[in-house]
Amino acid sequence: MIDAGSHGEVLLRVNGLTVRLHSGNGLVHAVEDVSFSLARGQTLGVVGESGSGKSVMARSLMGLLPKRALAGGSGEILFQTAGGAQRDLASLPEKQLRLLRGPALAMVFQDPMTALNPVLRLSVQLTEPLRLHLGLDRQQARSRAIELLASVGIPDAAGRIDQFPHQLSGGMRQRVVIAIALACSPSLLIADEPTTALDVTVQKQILDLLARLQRELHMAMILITHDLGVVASRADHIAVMYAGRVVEYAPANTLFTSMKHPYTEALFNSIPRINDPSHTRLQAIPGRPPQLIDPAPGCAFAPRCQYAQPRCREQTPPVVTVADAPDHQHACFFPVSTIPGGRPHGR
Amino acid sequence: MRLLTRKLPWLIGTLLAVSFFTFMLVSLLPGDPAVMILGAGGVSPEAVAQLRLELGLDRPLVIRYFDWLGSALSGDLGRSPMTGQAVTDAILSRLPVTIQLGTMAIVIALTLAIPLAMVSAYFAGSRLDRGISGLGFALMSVPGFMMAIFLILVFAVGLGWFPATGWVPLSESPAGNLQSAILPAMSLAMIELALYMRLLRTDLIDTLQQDYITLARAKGLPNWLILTRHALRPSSFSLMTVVGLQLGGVISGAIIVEEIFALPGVGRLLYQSILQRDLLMVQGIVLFIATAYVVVNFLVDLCYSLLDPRVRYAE
Amino acid sequence: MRSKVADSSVVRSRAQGFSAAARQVFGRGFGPGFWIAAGWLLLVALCAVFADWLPVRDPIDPVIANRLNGPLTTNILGADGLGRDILARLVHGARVSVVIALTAVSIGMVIGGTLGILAGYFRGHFERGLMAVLDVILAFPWLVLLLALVAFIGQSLAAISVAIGFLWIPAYARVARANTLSVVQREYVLAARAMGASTLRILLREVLPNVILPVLAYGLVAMGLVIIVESALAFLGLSVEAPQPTWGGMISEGKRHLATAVHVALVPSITMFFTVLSLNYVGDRLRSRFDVRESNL
Repeated sequence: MIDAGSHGEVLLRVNGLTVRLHSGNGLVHAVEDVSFSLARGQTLGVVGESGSGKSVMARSLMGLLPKRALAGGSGEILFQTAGGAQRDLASLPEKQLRLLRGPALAMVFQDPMTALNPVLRLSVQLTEPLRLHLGLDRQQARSRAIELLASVGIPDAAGRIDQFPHQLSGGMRQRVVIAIALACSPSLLIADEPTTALDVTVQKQILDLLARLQRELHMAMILITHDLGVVASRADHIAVMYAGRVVEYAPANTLFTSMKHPYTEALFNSIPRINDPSHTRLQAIPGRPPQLIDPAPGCAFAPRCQYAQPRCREQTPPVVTVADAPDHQHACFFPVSTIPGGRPHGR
Repeated sequence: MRLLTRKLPWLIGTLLAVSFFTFMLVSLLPGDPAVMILGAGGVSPEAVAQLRLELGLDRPLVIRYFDWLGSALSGDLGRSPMTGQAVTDAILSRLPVTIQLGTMAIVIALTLAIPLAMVSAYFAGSRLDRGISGLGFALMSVPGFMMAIFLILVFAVGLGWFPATGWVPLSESPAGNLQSAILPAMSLAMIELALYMRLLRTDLIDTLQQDYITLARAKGLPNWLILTRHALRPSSFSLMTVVGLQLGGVISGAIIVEEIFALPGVGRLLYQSILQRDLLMVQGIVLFIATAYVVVNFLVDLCYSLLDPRVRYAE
Repeated sequence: MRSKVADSSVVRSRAQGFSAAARQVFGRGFGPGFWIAAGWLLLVALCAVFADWLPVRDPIDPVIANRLNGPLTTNILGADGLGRDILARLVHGARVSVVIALTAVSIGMVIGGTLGILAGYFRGHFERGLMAVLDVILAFPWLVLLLALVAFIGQSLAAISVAIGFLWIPAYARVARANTLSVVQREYVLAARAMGASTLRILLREVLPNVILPVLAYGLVAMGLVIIVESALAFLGLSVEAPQPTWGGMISEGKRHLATAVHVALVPSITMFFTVLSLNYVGDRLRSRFDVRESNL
C-alpha cells in the first residue's frame, strides 16, 4: 500500500481501485489496482500518457463516470469528511455523494472552452453551488461570487459577473472554472490537466494560482498531467500511471534523481533539453499505448520497454518498495538503476 | 440592430420573389377565369371577352403583376369575381380560426414533447427511451388526416365527447370553442409532437455529453436541475428554429384538418378556392400565407440571434 | 521524399469503398423489428410489381351485393361502399404508392442532389442563386405548392410523381450541399486538387461517394413522407383519379362510412401506417449505421 508518509491528517486513502468500463468492443480495464494516500496541504502529481487511466481514475474518485458505462470494479476510496467521519466514496449512494461534491470534493477540468455552459451567465454558474450547498440567498451568493472571481485574479469582477463564457479568454475561463470549484471551500481538489489547453505563459499563471489557493484553503490537491515538467516543482509526490496502473510512486525529488521504472525513465528522456546540441534526435517512446480491452498477461509496458525480459511478458510485476526508501514504490522486475548526479542508466 | 439591417434586404428580396412567383404560378394555371365565372359550356365568346375586359385580363402579365402588388401593399387584394367578396376581408374573417388552431397545436405539441424528450434523453438507451422513441416513430407515420379520422372515430363517434365537425367561435362560448377546437388541434399536434420530441431528444443527448454537464455534476447539482437549466436551455434554440420552419407543415396540415372538420378557416378557404378556380382569391391567400411564413421565420431567426449567447456574443 | 505522413492520412481518411459500406449494413445484426419491417416492405413491393398476376379479385369491379361487408365474410378484408374488394384495391393501390414514392424520391435525389453538390463545390454566385431560389420555394407551405402544381400539370400518375418529386428537390439540394461542403474541406479533396485532378474527376471520385451515402439513407424515410403526401392529396381528391385505387383515396371514401362500416377506412389506414412506419424504421436504422458519429456511441 502506497503511503503518503507521515504528514498528519490523511484526507484520502485509495485502496486497490479498479474500474472496468463497457465499450462497443468489449470490457475496458481502465484503472487497475491503484492505491495511494493524500494528506491535507499536499499535492499528488499524476503523470501519464493519454489512455493511461488518469482521467478515469479522477472521475471515479468523484463518482462522475456515467453509471451505464460502469462494468464492475472494486476497491475503496476512503475519504475524511468535514464531520470527522470516514466514508468510502466508492460505495456511497449517489444522493450522499452529491452532497460531498462542492463542499468536500471539487474538480477542475481540462478544456475551459467546453467546461462552462455557454448559455448561462457566470453569475448563475457561480452562485448555483453557493446557494445549493451553503444556503446563501441571492444577494449573498452574488457578492460572494464576485469575491471569488476577484480571488482568482479576474479584473473587474463585478463588471464581468453577468457576462457569458464566450466573452472571456481561455485563461480567464479556466480561472472561472477554478473559482466554481473552490466556491464551497473543498478539502480535496482534483485538477485534471488544468493547463493542457492553455498557452504556455498562461499555464504558469494558472498553476501558481492553484498553488496559492491550495495554501490558503489548506486543500489536498491531485494534479493530473501528461507533462512531467508541470509536476516537477509543484507536487510533493508523483504517481506515474501506465495502462491503468501506477507503475512508480515517489516523492518528487526522489523520482527525478533515482527513478526506477523504465517507463518513467523513457518519459524523462523524451523531454527535449535546452542545452542539448542542435539536431539532437528526439527520443520518442516507440510503439503505442496498449489496448485496455482484455489486456494480455504480463507487464503492460513490456512491448515498448527496451529492458524487457521474457518474465515481463508472463507475469504482472507487483508493486514493491525500494530498499531504504519506504515512500518510493514501483512495479518492475528489473528496475533501472541510476548513476547519481547524472542521467539514469542507459542514456 | 446591425443584424437587422444586414438581413432586411434578404427579407424584402424574398418577399418580392414570393409575390412574383405566386402571381405567375396562379396566372399560369389552366382554366380561363372568365369562363369559370360564367360557367363553361354554352357561353358566347363575346360574353367571355367582355368579362375578360372588365376583369382586366387582357393586359400584359407583368403590368397586371405590378398592379396587383401595388394594391396588395395597401391591403387591397382585390375582390373575388366569383363570390364578390373582398379577398382581404375573407382572409381576415377566417384568420382567427386558423391561428387558434395552429397555436393550440404547437402549444400542445411542445407541452408534451419537452418533458417526453427530457425523460427519453435522460434514460437514453433504456426500454423507456425506446418506448417513447417508438411512440414518436409511430406518430410520425400517421398523416394528419388519418389521425383526424382516428380521433373522430374514438372521441366523436365512439365516445361522443367532441363534435366531429363544426366550429364555435370564442366570442360565442369559450367552452364550446374549446370543444370544437380540441380534436382538430390534436390531429395537427401529433405529428409536430413526434418531430419536436425526436429533435429535442437528439439535441439533449448531444448536450448531455458536453463537459459542462460533467462540471455541473461535479458541483453537486441535482439531476433535475441539470436537465432543466443546464441541458434544456442550449438545446432549446434548435427546437425554436424547427418550430418556426415547421409552420409550413402546420399550415399544410391545417388545410386538410379544416376541410375534414369543416372549420371556417383560411386553409379551407384556400382549398375550396382552388377547386372553384377562384384565382384571385387563391393568389391573395397564397401571398398572405407565404408572406406570413417568411416574416415569422425571419423573426424567429432574429430572436435566435438575440437570445442565444453563443451567437450574440460571437467574437 | 514526398511526405509519408500526408499519404497515410490521405489513405486513412479516404471514402469507404462500397463493399466496406455493404459490410457495415449486413455485417452486424439488426434487431428482429428491423427484419420484420424490411419484410413488410418487400411484401408491399412485390404486390406493387405483380399486382396484375396475383390471385385477387378485380379492384374496380363493383359488386353491390357485397356492399360494406366486413372482413372475413364475402371478401377477405371486406368490401367498400361500392362493393369493391378491399384486398384487391389495397394490392393495386400499393402499385400507385410504390411508383410515386420511387419516382418522386428519385427525381428529388437526382436533380436536387446534383444541384446541391454543384452548389457546395463551386460556391460563389451559383450557390447563392440556388439558395435564394430554394428559400423562395420553401417559403410556400408544401401543400399549397403541391395543389398549385397539380392543378397545373394534371392528375396522371406521372404528373403526381413529378409534382411531389419537385417538392423534394430543395430538401435533397440542402442535404447534398451540406455534405459536399464538409467533404470538400477534407484533406483528400485538397490533395486531389493539388495533384492536378480535373474537376469532374474530383466530383465523381472524391465528392460523390461520400455524399451519396447520407443522401441514399435519407431516401427510405423520404419515401415514407411521399406516401403520406400522396395520400393527403388523394384524400383531398386531387391524386390519381378514380377508378384507380389509391390508399389515400380509399381512406377518403371510408370516411363516409365511419359510423356504420369502420373497416372501409380502417383497413387501408392500417396498411398505410405499417408501410410508412416500416420505411421510417428501416430508413432510420440504416441512416444511423452510415453516420459514423452516431454509431460510435
